[in-house]
Amino acid sequence: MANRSLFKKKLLPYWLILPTVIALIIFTLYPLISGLFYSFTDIKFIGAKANWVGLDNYIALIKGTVGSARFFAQSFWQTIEWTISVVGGQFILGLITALLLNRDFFGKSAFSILIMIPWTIPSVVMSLTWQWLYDPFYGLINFYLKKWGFIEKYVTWVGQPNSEIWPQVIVGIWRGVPFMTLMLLSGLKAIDKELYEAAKVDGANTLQQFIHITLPSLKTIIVINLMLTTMWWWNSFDIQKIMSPVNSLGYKASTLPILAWYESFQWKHLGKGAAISIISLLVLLVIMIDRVRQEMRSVKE
Amino acid sequence: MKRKVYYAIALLLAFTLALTACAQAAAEEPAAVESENTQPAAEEPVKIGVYSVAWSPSSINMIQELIKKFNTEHEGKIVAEFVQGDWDGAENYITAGVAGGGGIADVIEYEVNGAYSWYQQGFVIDLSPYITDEVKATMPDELWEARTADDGGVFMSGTVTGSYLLIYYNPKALQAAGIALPAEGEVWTWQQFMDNAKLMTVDANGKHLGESGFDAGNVVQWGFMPRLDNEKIWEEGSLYAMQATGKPLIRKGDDGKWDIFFDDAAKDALKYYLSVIKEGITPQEAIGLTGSSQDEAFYQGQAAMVERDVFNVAVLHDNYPDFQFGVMTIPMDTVNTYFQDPTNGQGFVIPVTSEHPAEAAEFVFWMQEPENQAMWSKALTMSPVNPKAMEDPLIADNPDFVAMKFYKGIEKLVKSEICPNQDEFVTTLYAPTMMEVLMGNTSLDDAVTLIKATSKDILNQ
Repeated sequence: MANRSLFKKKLLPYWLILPTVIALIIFTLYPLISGLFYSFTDIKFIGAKANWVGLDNYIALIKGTVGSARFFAQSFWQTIEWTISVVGGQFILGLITALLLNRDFFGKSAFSILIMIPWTIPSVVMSLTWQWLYDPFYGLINFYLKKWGFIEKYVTWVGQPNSEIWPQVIVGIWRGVPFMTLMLLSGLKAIDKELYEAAKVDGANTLQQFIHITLPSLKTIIVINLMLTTMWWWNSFDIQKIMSPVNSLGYKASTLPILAWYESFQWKHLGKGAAISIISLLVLLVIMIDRVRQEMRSVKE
Repeated sequence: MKRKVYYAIALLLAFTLALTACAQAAAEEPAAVESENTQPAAEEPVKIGVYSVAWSPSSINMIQELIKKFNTEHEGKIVAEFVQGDWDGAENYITAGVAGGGGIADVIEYEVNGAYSWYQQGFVIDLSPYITDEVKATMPDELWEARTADDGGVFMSGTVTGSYLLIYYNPKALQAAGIALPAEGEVWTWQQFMDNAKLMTVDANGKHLGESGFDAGNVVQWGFMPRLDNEKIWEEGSLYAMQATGKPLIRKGDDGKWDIFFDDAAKDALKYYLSVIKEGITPQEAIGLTGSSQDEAFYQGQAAMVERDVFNVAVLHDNYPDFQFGVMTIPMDTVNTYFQDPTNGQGFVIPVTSEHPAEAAEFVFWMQEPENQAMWSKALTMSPVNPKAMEDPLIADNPDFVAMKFYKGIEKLVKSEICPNQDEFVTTLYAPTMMEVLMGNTSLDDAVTLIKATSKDILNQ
């Protein structure tokens, strides 16, 4: 009887995680493995016949000069530029906001609510709203910039082949700052106040306190945050897709997920689209595994 | 502890027994009623879902009105139910529905090329078994052919034919520039069009383009404001080229391989179309312009002329009821014929998951009857597939259809085979290269040479 109870106790954790494991197998592992398989085939769409073509899709993308391969390298570098700009901007603004919210000031509650708004708006609605704000003729941005004398002529901010990436980066930053703020704020709240008092006694100024107490204390939470947001924004699709005109591959906001979408669903080259996604995943894994390893090492130390 | 477990089990058993008893009683109840009633129960009408991609208020109202009319005419037999869909979501809708084995509408509205792809993927049924001689007579042979696959299967019914491109003009702008309003059926040549657009490109001092002292940096009204993105550059540019040559730009050559053909006449038309910014009649902002922004610029008087599909007449009426505008045909140097691709139309498909294909077919072909066609076409301001609908007073006496009637009078249907790699070719090569011509970074001749160098590789991959 005692043995059975022990056995049951040992099994209990497995039973508890079973639903999650099943969900992971169905929604993560299966798509990942099938995506990997498709990337070595010439499959056109789900349900179609798939012939094994080995590394042809990968070679065509990396070496090729026609079709989507024309834009592969460009999209790859633009994905890096996009991710660094968005995540970097979110981190800097998120940190400033978190530091502000960690202090007491008049209207703090209202400010806390306002800062969370971008996170609550559905991304499609948000992208369409920003598209309207950026509209060359009727957007509020052009209207006020002209009214205040910053520009003489209306500017087309997005949607042209030579439009810069940063107007969309601003949207990405705006979207992600609330999450970054929340995470960093929770980290700030956990720092022992006595550390600051001791530093003050030792004559440390605010900047020194920030560099020697705040940042090291936040290190783990910053790394986790940056890893998470890097993954999310590397794979970001909706903002770039909605705010760019149809068939705008090669534009500066065109990243790997956009290219994969065109290949897989627009042109019915699921095999090649899967290859783009796998390459994208591998790059992300290399960055992440290295970061995780470093983090684990520092935690052990 | 043990006793509690026994109580729990007993309670559970009792509850299960009670549930079973209730279920049994419920199951027996209809039988009892049936035995009392010697007459067989009346057959329930068959329910079918109709997924429509209508998006403007007038078209959404009209499809609902038509469904109501259908239900009245088929009372007791079929009940059609409106399902609001959208152009972007239709593909995912049918793909998910077929993969999931059902749960989607019995009738889906879409466009011919996309429906053909669905048929090839096995998503939609062959409508042939439901096409009677009477149904066959509701649409010209060319339109049936455009909806027939290589295996002889008819994959789609017809609602409206391919859209016609129109020039929308602001009569006040024409009058202010001293240009006579175009008469019914009048067609401007490209040179006339460019000259008139220059006259209507006006700066803040009221001077027009070409006049001495004209301030190009302070234009308040542009002569012509088309939407110039990668998609439009292809759709509209290739349409102009087709009007000039009578053949689609992308077609199979003598060697049986897909290629793009830039005949001289096609290049002439493209030269005009792609020079609008360079000529100063169109602002740089027209690149990447959204449809609603273009409408607004037209309404506010910032654009004297815009170029849009015929369906936008209804959209402008919906959004700007007080706005007076006119429509005319696109500029053409040869006006004997308007070449229309019959594969550009719209219609209905029946997904393979439909449990009531016969009733669904009844609906889709009912929509091809002249009166229903006229109602639908009027709401969309698009051309009906059934020529008899053009004689319906809803269309025959409607000024919005004047330019369309002219087009139909000189129309020739030229079926183009669809190259499966056309989209990729357009997105990755044609459109970005032609965009460089539009922005003045390269010449049309150099662009043509660049496109021709690798066009076959993409189109025949």
